Amino acid sequence: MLKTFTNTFKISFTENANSFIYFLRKIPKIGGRISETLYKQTKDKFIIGIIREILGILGGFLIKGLYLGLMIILPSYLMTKNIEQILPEFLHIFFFLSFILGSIMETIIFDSINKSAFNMIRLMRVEPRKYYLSQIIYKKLENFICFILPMIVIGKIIGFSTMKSIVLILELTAFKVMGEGLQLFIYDKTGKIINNETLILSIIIIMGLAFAYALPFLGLTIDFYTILFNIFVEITTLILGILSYIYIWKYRSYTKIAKSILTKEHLFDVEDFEENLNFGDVKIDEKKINENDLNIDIYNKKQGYEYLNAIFFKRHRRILVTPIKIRVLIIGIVFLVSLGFLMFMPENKVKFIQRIKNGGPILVFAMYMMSTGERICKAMFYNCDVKLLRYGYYRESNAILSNFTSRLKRVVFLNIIPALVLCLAIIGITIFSGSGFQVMGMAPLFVSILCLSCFFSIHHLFLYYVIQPYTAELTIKSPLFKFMNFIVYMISYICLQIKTSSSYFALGVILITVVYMVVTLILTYKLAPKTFKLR
Amino acid sequence: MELILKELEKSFGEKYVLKKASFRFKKGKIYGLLGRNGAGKTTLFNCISGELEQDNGMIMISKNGQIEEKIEYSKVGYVFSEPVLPEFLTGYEFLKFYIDINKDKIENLLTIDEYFDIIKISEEDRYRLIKGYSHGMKNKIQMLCFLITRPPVILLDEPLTSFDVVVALEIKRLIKEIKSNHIIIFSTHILQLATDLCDEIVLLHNGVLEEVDSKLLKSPEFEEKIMEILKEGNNA
Repeated sequence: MLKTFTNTFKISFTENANSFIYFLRKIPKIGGRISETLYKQTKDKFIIGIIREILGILGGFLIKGLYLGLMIILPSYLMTKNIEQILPEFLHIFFFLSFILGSIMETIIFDSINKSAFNMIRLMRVEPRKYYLSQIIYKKLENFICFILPMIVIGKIIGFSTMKSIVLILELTAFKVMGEGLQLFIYDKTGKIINNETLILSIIIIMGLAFAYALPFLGLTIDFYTILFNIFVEITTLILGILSYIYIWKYRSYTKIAKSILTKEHLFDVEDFEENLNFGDVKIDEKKINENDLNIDIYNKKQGYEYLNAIFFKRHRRILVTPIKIRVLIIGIVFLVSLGFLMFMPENKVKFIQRIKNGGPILVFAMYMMSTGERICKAMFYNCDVKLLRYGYYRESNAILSNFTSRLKRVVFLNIIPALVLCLAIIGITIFSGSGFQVMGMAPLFVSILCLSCFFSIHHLFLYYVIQPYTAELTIKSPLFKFMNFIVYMISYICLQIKTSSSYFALGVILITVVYMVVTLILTYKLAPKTFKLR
Repeated sequence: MELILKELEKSFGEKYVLKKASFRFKKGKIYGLLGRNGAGKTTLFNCISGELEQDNGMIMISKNGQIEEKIEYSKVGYVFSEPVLPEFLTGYEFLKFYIDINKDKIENLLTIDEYFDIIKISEEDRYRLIKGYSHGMKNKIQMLCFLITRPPVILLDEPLTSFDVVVALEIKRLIKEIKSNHIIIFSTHILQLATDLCDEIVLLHNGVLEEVDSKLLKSPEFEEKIMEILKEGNNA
């Protein structure tokens, strides 16, 4: 097993070094000076590999630190308003997010997009059992190391000892191994992979998040300090972790798992894979299509790119329209729950409406989560553009722009539906709670919702046309693209924390989004003919 | 009309694929482009079709003594060795789209069904998604694209390998029929196909293009000669 591990490590080491060299060579100006012969220099590569590894660990500290800071400390602080008193909330949220959700959702064995597993098992013919066993130890150890430093620092701030930090992370690691074992057990008994059961997974996630954030928000913080640092709990947890690893150790059918999970289709984009599945549905329809009901009549009048996109959106309606339906459904449920809340607790009406009126900042984040722009762009690329961009006529600037316009209309149209429903829901709640006279005053809020919806649709399409992050091999994405997306995400997320009078905020949002939309449209029309191409 | 390549250079990193490749392709002839795996046939085609930009050198079309230095994309038809088509459309829809887009460049427009008749794709298959087409059928659709727009330069990258015998023969006949008005370049590594169909053989070897004496084409030592040339300098 040790040999498997060192071999795996060597290969991922070399691979990391190679991709690091590749990355360095792509940096403008400096990149040109790095010779391609570096790929041949095994010795230099070793050093590069080590640099890359150190950077990786530093990055790990940073990521875990950010995770703890943004997902746990920040909300705890917002609830208690006193950094020295957040310990109970911190442990409560940390337990549900990391111990429970993390253990159930994280998986090494059932990770179908693990490229290294694919390479080692499918291409290099390593025995799956040895691979998984060594990887579980390695990854959990890595996780342990990356967590320990930020946790000790946090412990110093919010008041628990270094020893306690280590115990906490040890327990977490034991939980993660248990999670791994549990998933394997479920698969063994039922043949189901939790991570592929969207419904179950969504329920677990929603429940987990509710327990993590809603309970302390309502003042029902569980005292995990006494629980987790109780000596019996500590020992039991560790023993259960070890037993889980023994179970994983004794399990024999890894080859079967590897065969069904590590396939080329899985390895490319998960979402792409989903799209292909959805495309499979289209294929079934195909049999029903005959000359008479070929919909030719519907689209016959459309020409060129309008015709192309009309058919594209029709054939992909499952991918494109279903998410919209789900969003409308969620808004509907939230609407009904709110009505129920108001019905049973009418004394909160005024406060509730006030909350909504000042809800502008939260809406930014909500609208970000609701936008389907990126998914649509991906579908466009994989199922349409990756092929047609090979043709000269499709790359002509007129063609790109009329195609862009035709798509923009449709994407905005699709995304504005849930936005409108949201506006209606808010109006409904306001009227129901007897504050109907306030609806007019909420106009800026509604306009900002609609603006945000357009903004996110345009934003994704703009990035797609101007950066075009996807490659024909469906693998590498542009760092710039990720960065831009991250920025927008961060801004949306930060908006959650803003406390300001609603109408100013709404006006600000309207102003910013409108300006952004105008600028990006102009930029797209200027740049896309040059930038929209295959990489 | 001539397609003129002048000292084309193209490299990927430190690997030089085209090293001052020059050639004049003339109208009315079918050229067979021969080269070993990785010799750069596809790269050369990609440069001519504008998919890649060459590092140095020029690609021009001369017509009645007038030279066009920047070739318009519509002058070059390119049939990829791996068919590249949007799979969510039916064959019929793709052709309608293609014709819509290129309407102003098409002379003697036929109906879509007439086009399908030419390449013998059955009524039923016309209304199926391209996703379900076989490799050969997809290739036929690609061929059809240049039959519709009739670009002066036609590049065929390993085109006949995926066709069954009947279709291959038909396509061969078709190519011979239209050749008088076009410059047709045909890349292959099947020698027999080259001698069968082509009027001239051009070798792409060590980054340059060289013509093989057309007298040799019919001679019995043809294969041996080609082998000799292609193996030469391979150690370099």
